This record gives sequence, structure tokens and C-alpha cells, in this order.
Amino acid sequence: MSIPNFPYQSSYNSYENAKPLLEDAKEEKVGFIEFIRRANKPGRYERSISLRITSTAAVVIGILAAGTVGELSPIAIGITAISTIAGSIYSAFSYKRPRLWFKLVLAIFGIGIFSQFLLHIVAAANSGQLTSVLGPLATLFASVQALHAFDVPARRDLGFSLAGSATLVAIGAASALNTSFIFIIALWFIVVVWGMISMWGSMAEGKVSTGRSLKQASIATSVVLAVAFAIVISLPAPTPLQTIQLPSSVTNQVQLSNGGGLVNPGTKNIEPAQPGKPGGKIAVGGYVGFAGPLNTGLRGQLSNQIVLRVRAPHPSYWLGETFNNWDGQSWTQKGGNTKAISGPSPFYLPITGPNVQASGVISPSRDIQTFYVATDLPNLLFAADTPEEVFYPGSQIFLGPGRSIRSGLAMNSGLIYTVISQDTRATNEQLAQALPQGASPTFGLSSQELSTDLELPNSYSRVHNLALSIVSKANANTTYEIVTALENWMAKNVKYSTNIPPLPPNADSVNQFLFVTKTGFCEQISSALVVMLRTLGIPAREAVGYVPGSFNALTDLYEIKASDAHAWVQVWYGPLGWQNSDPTASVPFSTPTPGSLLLHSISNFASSHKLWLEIIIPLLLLTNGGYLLLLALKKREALSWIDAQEAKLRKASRKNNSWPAGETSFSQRVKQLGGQLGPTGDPNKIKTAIKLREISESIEKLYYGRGNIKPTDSPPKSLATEIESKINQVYKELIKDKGPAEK
Amino acid sequence: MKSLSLARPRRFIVPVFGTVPLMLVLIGVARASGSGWVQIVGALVSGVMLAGVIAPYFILRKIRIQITEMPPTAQAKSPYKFKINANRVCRVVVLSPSGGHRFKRTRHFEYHSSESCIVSKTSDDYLEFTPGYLGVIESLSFEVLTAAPFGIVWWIKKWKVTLPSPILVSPHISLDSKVQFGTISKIGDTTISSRRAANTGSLRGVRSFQNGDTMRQIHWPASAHSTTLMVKELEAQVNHEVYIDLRLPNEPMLAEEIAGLVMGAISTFLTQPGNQVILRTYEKGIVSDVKISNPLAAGRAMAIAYARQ
Repeated sequence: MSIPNFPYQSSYNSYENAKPLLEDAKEEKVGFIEFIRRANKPGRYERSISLRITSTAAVVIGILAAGTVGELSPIAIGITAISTIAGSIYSAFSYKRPRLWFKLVLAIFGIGIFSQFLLHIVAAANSGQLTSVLGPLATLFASVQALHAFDVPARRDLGFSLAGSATLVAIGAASALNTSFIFIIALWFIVVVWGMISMWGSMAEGKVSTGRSLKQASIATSVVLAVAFAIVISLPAPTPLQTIQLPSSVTNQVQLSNGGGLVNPGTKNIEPAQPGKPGGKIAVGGYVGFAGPLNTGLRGQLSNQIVLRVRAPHPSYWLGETFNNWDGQSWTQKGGNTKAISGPSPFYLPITGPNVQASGVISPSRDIQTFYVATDLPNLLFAADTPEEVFYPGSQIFLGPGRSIRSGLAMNSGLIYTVISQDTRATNEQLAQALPQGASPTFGLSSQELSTDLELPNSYSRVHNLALSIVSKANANTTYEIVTALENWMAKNVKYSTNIPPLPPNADSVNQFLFVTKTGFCEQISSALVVMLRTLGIPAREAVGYVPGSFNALTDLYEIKASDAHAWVQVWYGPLGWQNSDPTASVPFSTPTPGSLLLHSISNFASSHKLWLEIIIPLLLLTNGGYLLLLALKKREALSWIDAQEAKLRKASRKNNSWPAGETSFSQRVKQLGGQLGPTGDPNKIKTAIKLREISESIEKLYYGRGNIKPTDSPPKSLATEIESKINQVYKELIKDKGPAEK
Repeated sequence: MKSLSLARPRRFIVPVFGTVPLMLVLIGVARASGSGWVQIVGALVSGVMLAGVIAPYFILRKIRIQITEMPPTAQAKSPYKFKINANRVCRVVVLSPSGGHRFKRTRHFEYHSSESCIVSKTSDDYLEFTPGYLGVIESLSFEVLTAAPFGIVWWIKKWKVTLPSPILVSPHISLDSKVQFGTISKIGDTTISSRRAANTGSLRGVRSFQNGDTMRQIHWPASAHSTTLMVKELEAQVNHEVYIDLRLPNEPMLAEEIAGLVMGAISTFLTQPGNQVILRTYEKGIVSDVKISNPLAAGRAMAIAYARQ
């Protein structure tokens, strides 16, 4: 035999480089180009039907989200949604036939869509009509998603669809004006979470069970919601950038031909109670004071329907018009003409009254408010403070008497306009420092205008005496002190109620309120203050409009209901101009009932906890439905034979603490019992132990066995009976072994 | 299970930073519109991303893997399959086997890993690896990965699992026509001969006295000559029996080569009925003679001997 020479030529050459797969990946260094090439390498075909369905559904929901708020036309919604579904189906079935020409066609379409988007933006910008890029963006994103749906073979592509749907939902969210959008977001969120879980299920080669998926979905959504909630509450409120032209649009353009006259569609079908007609209180949808005279003898009740939404930097009184002429029952506007101002938008309004800035007391800032009309309204353009510019979709607006801005179009639902005002509001300290009453020159107003704001139909001697006594008691000298004294008196001596008796025929509304009923609502209270001020020689007028409404943090809008219509007082402060004063705010409710107080509290809670009531709780309920279902299924599962045996043994063992701490399966427990019996040396017990081992093996087979045996299946009847009897036997043995003290 | 490393994300840059454009779009839309709804959508997307990126870390920490079935023997360079399950769905890949100093020293070329495998609680799954050379594997190191619940980023952690019973890795069978039985042949320090050491028979040579040698074995003339106790080594002719004095070097590749050749020779020799092999192996402080009647027994003996050398 020959002796081989050593060392041999190693046959391990290729073997020396063998490393774990992950080590290979970790240590391999690739260049940037290679990195890009690999990143763009087509992925493996995705077989998860669930992931395909959820990603398609997410995109379709995104398209609908953008469509429901008007950012996509119905035709665009239909085409993109149907294309997305059709494309997804095509992608699901065409993975074995990748076609280059088809990809080229998609690319050409994509370039076309993007070019159209750019052309649209440039053309709109050049013509000055670019109000928002959201609409074109929505069309672009929806079209890209629809095209992309035709080429989604791999998991990564489906992930892009899921992510892309977020942009469409965001575009919808940007234009959403009410909280019902939560349902779209909730639906989209559920679909996306399910899609993500399907993605993991696919990565796990389908080994994640449905029960586990439901549990994961429930826990994951709870975590995601908690994280999202933390992010939302820690983020500052979004401040809109005003870099493009301010929004104004109209969906249903109806030209009014009344030459700037007022129209109030809300009062078309109403029949408010008239003075002298007791019991005639009728629900009223529109505030009658917004068109024509403000008759304080009318009685009505306003609905809680949202009529306007306002995006504004801060809350304000949204003024509709003012009245300067009082006849004892109604307010009207005396003097002044209606002046037409022609477009195009924006419309610049002449500023009347004092130059507040020149007073050096107030530095007015520009205050931008965008109004979204939610229901048919009178053709008044509501605005805060002193309006300067109006961005309005029509060609003409009218400047009416009483500082009212009137629309040349019917104010139908969907109309949007923006007003830029000078914020001329003075603080209480600034008002307190204003000139004492009587010393005011006219400050930009004619003496005739000011004298109109002091006129009264009669001497109102009783009111004058009352006002004088209040003022002297309060030792008030300046306008601000007088106004404050009168408001304080009202807060103590009159009550607020919308349920007041009809005004007697020919009665003076102010006298009736101050000396007879001492109960009224904003019209009576503000009219009384105006009259009291005028009797003291302070110019004052009645103002009507809306209170700021409740702020919706989700939409960033003030939501104004019909019942937010309000009347308040404007007092002349000389160099500071007209300043708002609201005596109603401090007047308490008349004879509040526990029920009304409770309702009031609930209403307050609901408005201050809108986020919880409308968002968090429904979302938690919606997203955790899966987990609740899982719990229900588990409960059902607990009724299975094997669990019933375990429960029985647990219950029996609880009496003498023979069940060990922690989770132990039934079969393990049987083994343990067998183990306890085995070492005793008693032949019968050893026999039992052996039998128990056999039984436990049977149970294990049942539990963990292959084939079609499910954990919920019962064993054969003979085995079941045997196990039950053995369990009882073992239990008895245990009791015996424990001794009397432990029984 | 023993943790070998902290959990860490793997290839997270693309999925995490891939969402940056999405977040920029959302921020842009939020800024342009001033809508809180957009913030909600952005927060939900952020929540999904954050939970998707971080949650696997916590899930990974709870994962426990268990080897449920494993053959007691393996062969070098041949795939070794075993069953594994985990309390949560995860991806598992064999990182390295270990069993004493020999496997640790030469970790980089000791085995091939197979494809990684997704394992779960409800089903036993097979994992395989290919041991590189003979020895005893007492534990296996695994990389355990999960991307639950959203599949955004894989998190990875290394675990060392002590095996319920060691795996004896026999050498691969290497057939070489130059290695034959018949006369005394030598492969390195290993001797293959048709005669074996015996208490009777003709003198083969002398060697130093070792614990366990009897007085009868002492070769007095040689002892007198060398001034230390020397003993006689006798050998007897054995029909159909080969004696192998296996002395494996420490260098694992070389040891594997030699053991492979010996295994090849034994396997060939044992195919003839009536043939048998006496294999002498050297463990730490122990000289062991084992009668081998099949290659498996030879492999086991070599594996143990090499591991305990």
C-alpha cells in the first residue's frame, strides 16, 4: 500500500468560503448604482389575495375620499376607481406574462397625466384662477394609482399602493368640512392595517393564523391609535399658508336680480308669531333679522343645523348688518344707499369711520376668514370686524346701508368666499382709556350719521332715569364705564329666555322688557342697552350676525348653527370707532330647570370633548371589533371538550391549591399528576401513573397531532369516559395524599 | 436559550426613509389646508410606521424557539435536518453550531447554512444545516427574525440553544484507491494494519511503560538499556480484522480529510461479510479500542474522539 503524501491538496477550497446566508448579505458591499439596480429589481410575485384586496380597497377608498369632498369629479371618480379595480385584477392574473410594451404604454400614460397636471397648474396660475392645487393633485394621484394598479406584481408594489392611498385620503381630509369624514378615515385605516397585517402574513408564508391575525390587528391598531393620538395632541395646530389666491367658489350659481336687496330663503316657509298673538310660537329655520327690519315682537326658535363654516385665525362676531333706527318695536336702517361694486375678485371695500390706526391705540392686523356656506342663507356676506377685501366667485357685490355686504348671487350651499378684514377690536384696557363720553368729535363720521345713532322714537324718560341711576350708582364717567355698569345691571336684574310671551299690541319692546317681563333674548337685551345708551347721549346701534360658533379642531373650522344667529350692540368709542358689546353674554338663564341644566351640561361636554365622542371612541370600537370577535370565538372554543375537562380539573384543584401556578395545559397537568403518583411505590398508583401517561400521550396526540384533528375536536367517547374517570380517580388520590389539613 | 446579541433592525433604511416623501406630502397638504383631518391622517400613517418599526423589537424579545426533533447523528458535508417550532411566527436561520473549542475556533468554514425557514407555534418546521467536519455539536446558534405585525422592518436577534442531546458528526466518507487494507499503511500519524496489538504473538516493538501495563509486558533488556521501564508490543495475525490506530491532528480540515479517508476505507472493508475493524482512538487521557461492525459506529467513535481530544 502506498502512503499518501500529506498534507493533501485541500479539497475544501470552495468550502472555506461557506458562510451563513445572512452573513453573506451583511458583508457584501455594493456600489450606489448596484444599490439602485437592486432596489428596482422586480420583486417576486405576491400571492397574498388578502394583501391585493386591501391595497386595492385602500386606493379606492382614497379616491372616494377625495371625491366626496369635491376634489375629484364624478367622472374622474368612476374612471379611476374602476381602472384601479380592473388593473388590480389584471395584475393578479398576469404575473407569468410580463409585457414590456404594456409597461411602456403605462409609462406614456403616466407622463401624459403629469404633463396635464403641470399645464393645468401653469394655466390656472397665469389666469389668476389658481385657488387650490388640491383638485389637480387629487386627479394626478388618483390617475397614477389607477395606472399603477395595472403593474403591481410584487409585495413592494402593493405597499406603494397602500402608502399612495394615504395621499388621496389626505387630499380629501384637507377639504373635509365636517366630522362625518371620520367614517372614511376609519374605513381606510382599518383596510390599511389589515393590509399591513396581510403583508406580514405573506412574509411569514401564511403561517400566521387568523386568530393570531385578529389579535395582532387589535393590539396593533390600539397601539397605532395611541401613538397617533399622542402625535396629534403634541402637534401645533396647522397654520394654512396663504401663498396663493384665497378661496372663493360657487357650485350652483343663481344670479339675484334684486339690485342688492336682501333675500332670506330661510324664512320662506315660516310663520313667526306676531305681536299680540299669544301661543303662536313656531319653529323658524332662518333668522328673520337678516332680511329687512329686525322685529323684536316676533317669536321663533332657530334650528341647530350648521349653516356656515368659517376658517379664521380667531373667533369673532360674524357681522351681517347693523341697524340704527329704532321705532319701539323694530330696528331698521335709516339713510345710506346700496352701492354696487363690480369685479373681478377681489372686491375692495371703502373704509368708513375713523382711521383707527391713526389713533395710535390700536394697531389693526389683517384678519383672513374663509366662509363655507352649508345651507341656503340670506345674501349677506358675513365678515369679522372691518372688511377691506372680499374674494367672491360672482362678478358683483353690493355695499348696503348698515355696513352690510350683499351677494349678487344666491347664497346656496357650496358657495365659498373669503374676507380680509382689519382687526380693529380694542381690548378692555384700551376701551377704558378712551375719551370720556361727550368729548368725542365725529372721527370720520358725519354729524348727521352720529345723530342718527342717538335718535329715539320718544324720550324714554323712564329708561333714561333708570340708566342715569345705574350710572350714578356705579360712578361711571367714561363710555366704557357706562357700558360696563349697564351690562352689570342687566346681568343682575334681567333673565335670558327664548320662551317669552308675545309682545302686547302697540307695546314698546324695551319698556316691556325692562319694566314688565324683565325676561327676553338677545334682541330684547341688546335693544334695551342701545336705547339706554342713547338716552345717555352715547351713539349706539343694533348689530346682527352670528356668534363665532364651536371650533372643530379636526376641520380647523368654526361651525355655525342657525341657532348661533345673534343680536348685539355696537357702541361708538370715537377714535376707536364702533366696538362690539354683548350684554346677553352676562345675562343668566331664566328659571333653569334641572333637565335643561343637564342638557346644557351634556351639550357643553359634547362640544368640548368632540374628539373623544366623535373620533376616539368610534375608532376604538371599530378597530377593536376584531379583538372582541376573537374573544367571542375564544369563549366558544372554551366550550370544547378538552377545555371543559381542563376547566373541570382546574375548578376541582382550586379547592386544595393542587393546580400549579402559571399556565399549564391539561395534558401537562395529567402528566404531572402521573409523576406525583409514580414515586409513591404503591403498585396501584404506579398503574394509575402508567395509565395516565398513556392518556396524556393520547391527549397530546389529540392536541398537537397531525392530520385533521383539531384542538376543539372531542376524543372518541370511550377515551373521553376513561379520561374523565381517571381524572376523578387521580383527584381523589390527591385529596387523600394531601391529608386532612390541606383538603 | 441564551441571548448572544441585542435585537437590532435589519435593512431599515429603505422602508423607514422611504416614508419621508409621504410624510412631506402630508405635511405639505396640512400646511396648505390648515386642516386637522390631514394631521389625523398623517398621525395615523406615522403611528403605523412607528408601530411597524418598533413593535418587532418587543415581539422578538418574547420569541422562544424549541428543537422538537433531531437525529442523534450527522455526517460532515451532508445536510442535517431537524424540527423546530417557536411560540410566535418568526424566521429562523442557523448561524453556527458549537461544541467545545474546536467548533468555535474555525467558525467561518465549518458549515453551510440552509435557506432560512419560517417557523410557528402550530407546525413543526424543518431547518437544516451542513456541518463541515466531524465532532460533537452541543448547541446551535440561531438568528431569529420577525417583522410582525406589519412587515415593515425585520428585527434580528441571535440566540444560542443548547441541544437536548448532542449531535455526533461523523466524517464524510472519502474514497481513495490509495488507501487500502492489507499491509501497514499510514495516513499522517494514523496507522492502518491487518495486525493488531495483542498480549501474545510475535514482538512488534517496544514502547515506554504506561499506566495499565502489566509486569509481564515489561521488556527487561530494553529497560536495562534505556534505564526506564519499557514494555513489549506484541501483535497477532487476525483474519478479516483490521486494526486502526486513529490519531487525528488538531487542525480540523486536515482531521476531516484523514477521518474521511479512514471512513471510506472502513465502509469499503465492512461491506464484506465477516470483516471487522478494531478502532483505537485517543480521547483526553483515555485510549479506547472499539470493535466496529458498521460505518455509523465508526463515525460516532471518531466524532467523540475528535471532540474530546
